[in-house]
Amino acid sequence: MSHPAHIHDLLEAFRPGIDTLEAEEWAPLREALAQDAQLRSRFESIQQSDRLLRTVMHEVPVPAGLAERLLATLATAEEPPSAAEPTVTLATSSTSEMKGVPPRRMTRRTWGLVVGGALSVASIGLLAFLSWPRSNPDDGWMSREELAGHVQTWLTDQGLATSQGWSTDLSGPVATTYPVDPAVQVRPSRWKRIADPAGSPLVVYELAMRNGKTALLFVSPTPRTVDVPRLPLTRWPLTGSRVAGAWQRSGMLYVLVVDEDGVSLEDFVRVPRVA
Amino acid sequence: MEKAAPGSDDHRQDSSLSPVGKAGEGNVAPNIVQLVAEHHAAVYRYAYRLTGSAADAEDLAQQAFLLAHQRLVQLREPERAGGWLLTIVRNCFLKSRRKEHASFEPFHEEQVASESVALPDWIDAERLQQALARLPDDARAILVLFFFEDCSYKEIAEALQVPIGTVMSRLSRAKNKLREELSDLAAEPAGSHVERKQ
Repeated sequence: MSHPAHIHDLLEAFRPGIDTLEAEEWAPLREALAQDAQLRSRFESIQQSDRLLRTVMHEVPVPAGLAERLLATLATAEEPPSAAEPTVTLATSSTSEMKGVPPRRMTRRTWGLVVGGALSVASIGLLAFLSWPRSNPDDGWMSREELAGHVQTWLTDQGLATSQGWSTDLSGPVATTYPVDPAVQVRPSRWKRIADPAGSPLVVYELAMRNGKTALLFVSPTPRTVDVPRLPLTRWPLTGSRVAGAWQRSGMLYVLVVDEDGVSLEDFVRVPRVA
Repeated sequence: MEKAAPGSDDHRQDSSLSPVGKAGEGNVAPNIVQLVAEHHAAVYRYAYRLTGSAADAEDLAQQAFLLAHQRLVQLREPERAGGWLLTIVRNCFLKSRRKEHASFEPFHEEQVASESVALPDWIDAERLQQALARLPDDARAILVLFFFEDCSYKEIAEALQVPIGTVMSRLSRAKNKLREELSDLAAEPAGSHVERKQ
């Protein structure tokens, strides 16, 4: 039995498991099927083929590290050329993770979206607070746990508790060798070199607010890739009301330690955001 | 699969984004990190089927998540995030194709077998992609929308901005053409598809 082309089109457009022949839009097909056994056989064959195709259509291997690259791409909006950079609230978690994997490639369209878009870097901070599958660390990689251990060691350094060894000369070589990250919005009042058990060069700045509240900013030029974002978006609790925030940018590792007694970590740092 | 309305990524951009998502009508929208974590695989798979290339698929996925981040406030129903993302992927793809070509390469009648072709007994993901790659953009887009996104012919018409009748006939021909290509591939000796593809 021959059928108009419309019936054949309906035959192919019907989605098994989704559409129902009882629906009004399928009435012509329903009636044709009721009258033609050959058409019914073909209909069943197409449905079977469609189910298989639908299944195979989803079978696409996903490249390793894709999610990390996508997140890294989202994070590329972190450094807008804006002079007025509003401060955003730092998220809080102790399970932050983000590995600084560069995006594989940025298309012009993508860059346009980044530059002109409304990507809020604050949300990228959440990268640091969600559990994320990591790739195996290599020798040049420092885990968050390892960093936390270093920070604890730094804080127990005897030199921190003394007034000796501090320098108020902030314009000397220290400014170029251990530059303060632009995200830090409180000027250092003094600095000193402290010993890092791992042997890395390490300087700590004391940041002093006008109200007398202070914070410590550890700066270390490390070649290792640390498991922190490139923005001061992560933080983890230390003892008491002290918290630490860490980020790594331009080859420098920054760790900010604040006693959040009447002041908060984000009072000392700002995060740029595309307006 | 739940889907957002086709064309929804054409909505006006809203920059009032929140890192923790927007609350609305009792629902808390997922943040972009959650979206990436939960949907990056599906988004990539869909992009791969549309573009036929791993590199292009990743670019498309990047583009889609950037747009999703910008427009997160438009996601009123978090449970529909997957469909919403696929809609963005699809619209990004179609937009890029429209820029590259004045219109989709149309089907030519002689490209399609007049009789319905049966699917080979066995197909796999790679062979399916080879068959899809042999189809015109138009046909491939329709098939991916139909099979991957489970779009109805009406939704496909809306997404592609063509009349319903046109979609129905194109869908019918595209499916037949796909089966035809799959049959041809099944009959070809291993490796010969590469030459033909070029």
